Amino acid sequence: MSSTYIMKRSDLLKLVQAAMDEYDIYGPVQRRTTWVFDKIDDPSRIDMDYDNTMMSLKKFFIPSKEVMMRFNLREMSIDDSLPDVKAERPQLLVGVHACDIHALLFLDRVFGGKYVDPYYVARRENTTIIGLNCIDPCKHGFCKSVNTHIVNEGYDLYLTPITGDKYYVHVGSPKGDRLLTIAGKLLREATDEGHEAFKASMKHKHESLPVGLHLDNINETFDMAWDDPIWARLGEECMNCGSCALVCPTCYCYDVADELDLSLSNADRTRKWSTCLYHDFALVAGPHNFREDPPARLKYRFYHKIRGALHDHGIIACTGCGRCIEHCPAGISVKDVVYELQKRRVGVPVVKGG
Amino acid sequence: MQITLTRENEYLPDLAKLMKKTKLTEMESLFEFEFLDNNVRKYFTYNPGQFVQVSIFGVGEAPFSVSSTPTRPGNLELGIRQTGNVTDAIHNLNVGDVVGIRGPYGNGFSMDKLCGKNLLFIAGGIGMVPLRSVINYIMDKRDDYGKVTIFYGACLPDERVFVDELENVWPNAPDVEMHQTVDECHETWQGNVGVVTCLFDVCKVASENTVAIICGPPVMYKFVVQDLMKLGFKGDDILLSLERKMQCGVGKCAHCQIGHKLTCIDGPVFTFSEVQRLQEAI
Ligand SMILES: Cc1cc2nc3c(=O)[nH]c(=O)nc-3n(C[C@H](O)[C@H](O)[C@H](O)COP(=O)(O)OP(=O)(O)OC[C@H]3O[C@@H](n4cnc5c(N)ncnc54)[C@H](O)[C@@H]3O)c2cc1C
Ligand code: SF4
Ligand code: SF4
Repeated sequence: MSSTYIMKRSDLLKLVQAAMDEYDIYGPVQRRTTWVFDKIDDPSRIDMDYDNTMMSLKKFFIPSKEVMMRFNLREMSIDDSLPDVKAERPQLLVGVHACDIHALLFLDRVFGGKYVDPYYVARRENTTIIGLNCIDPCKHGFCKSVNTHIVNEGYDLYLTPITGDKYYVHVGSPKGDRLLTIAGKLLREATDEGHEAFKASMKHKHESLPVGLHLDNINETFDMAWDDPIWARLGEECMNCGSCALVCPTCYCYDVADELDLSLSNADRTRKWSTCLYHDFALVAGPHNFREDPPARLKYRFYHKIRGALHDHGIIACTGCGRCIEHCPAGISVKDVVYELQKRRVGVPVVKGG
Repeated sequence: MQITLTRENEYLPDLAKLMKKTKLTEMESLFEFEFLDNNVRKYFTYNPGQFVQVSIFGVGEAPFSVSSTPTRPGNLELGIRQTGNVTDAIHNLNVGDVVGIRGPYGNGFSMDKLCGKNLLFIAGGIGMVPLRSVINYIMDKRDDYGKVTIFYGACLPDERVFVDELENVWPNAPDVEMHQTVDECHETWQGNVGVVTCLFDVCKVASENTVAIICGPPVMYKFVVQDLMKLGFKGDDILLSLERKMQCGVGKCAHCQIGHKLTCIDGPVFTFSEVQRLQEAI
């Protein structure tokens, strides 16, 4: 049996301070009405009680814009930026919620597989994650409804808040072991008292997180629901702004473009986030647009996230983080949509007692 | 001129030189490329129906079906319509110019499974580009396949691609029946007039032991499939090659998703049965 550890909550700041020589550190800090994962130079800025960040963690692995390679048009040579990505300073992400760890596990499947995306993988390997077990619900999330409230992999250290202003610490990987070494005396092995406190926190978590919908037979539901009137209704409300996809931790679609420099002798092949809500997303030469109507694009996002992700990767691409619900200007809620479809097609969730 | 040859990064293209450029129509030309690297040249192979990503450095990258056949090693042939940024730049290339090519991608046709079958090809316009690869593959292994029937439709006679093969090569091959039609009448045109489905009246096709292979503009599929179903073709015996917007070619950018499948990975060749289960496919 490997050990679990106890750390004082306030000592997390000391751990972050001690890790600064080795990593670029990012953590949740408050900004106006929301939180962002920001570069941490002063550990006291970290707010481990944050509700949720506006942008997800995908920006650390697929930047909103990145140069994949440079072309020298005179010499006709290609300079891959992968070695630079690999040489980036290791990054440490502090306080990552369970749902966001699930999002990374999903992206791992997308960017891995038969063809590996080397830029994503390089950043992923170069990143250490200190997860944070939320034991109380957040404002818009519904993780327990989509089974993302528990994580068993994808973190290097995992912190569960326990009584006495402490964390119960689980080590998930060799990268986590490295943090243990850096932490030194800040961590001590958990005793029975610590294990009991962990159990109490988890009991609290299970009782406090709501279950509002279920995913039973979700494939069948979506196959039945293609012509459901809900899509036309939502289509009228949605303005195809793409915010839902931009804030979503699992929406990964991107565009590729070459950008010439002023000398016209060098060009960058760049990729940028895109969203399926945009008009030109499925536009091809002709011109022919496979999803010309705005409602078709909104519906497509739901189908890709649920039905398509299950087909391609065996899990749905919604972690229940609630970001799109919080930021949709039209008030469209993925949770309500899935609930409504599920209720009509296969029934309401059976919630077992606390 | 240097490039590291490694599949560590699937997005890095290999350099290839334009060896020959032949005008097919006003809008389309056939481009023949040869990889600069000896190893790539030696090991690069593909299935009919697969596609490659061609880079014009500084302009962009776009997917094109391979039009040559792996049974004839040598230059990689691509039939390309001029229609936008990348294709304009390709049409402006001179022999000797260097581009980037990566692939091949997509499933292509499983030529093994088609062995022993009669084959009905239905192509519209530049839909003939990928089908030419299959047809010439079969020409080179003629004994492995049954009767071949080819329906080809174009808007105007001048818009037909691979006219030499349409008129002089394929009709003269053993056990091949070839029919063409154009949408609009033309003084010099003696043949059929009408959309490609009118060829079903000209030539009686039997569905027994026959696989239909279709590629053309998006509007064509519905009508062709309807007629095939009337003739008794089963969904599994109708193969379609679909086109979608693509950026990465390897299942990451998600532009080519149809319903729950990716055109670049699960396709571009689908059976009609599959397509029926994919909303928005045709
Ligand atoms: C699997 C596959 C195989 C293919 N095989 C072939 C082949 O063998 N031969 C072939 O010629 N083609 C083939 N294609 C199509 C080919 O990839 C496209 O023609 C090519 O990508 C066009 O690129 P482009 O940069 O020249 O055009 P772009 O500059 O990207 O523009 C393409 C067209 O899209 C429209 N468009 C683009 N952006 C906008 C906008 N913002 N607003 C309005 N309209 C817009 C325009 O009408 C324009 O003409 C294939 C495609 C796929 C997916
Ligand atoms: S955020 Fe809301 S309005 Fe904007 S595209 Fe998404 S669903 Fe539509
Ligand atoms: S779809 Fe909405 S709730 Fe689900 S993971 Fe994306 S942003 Fe979060």
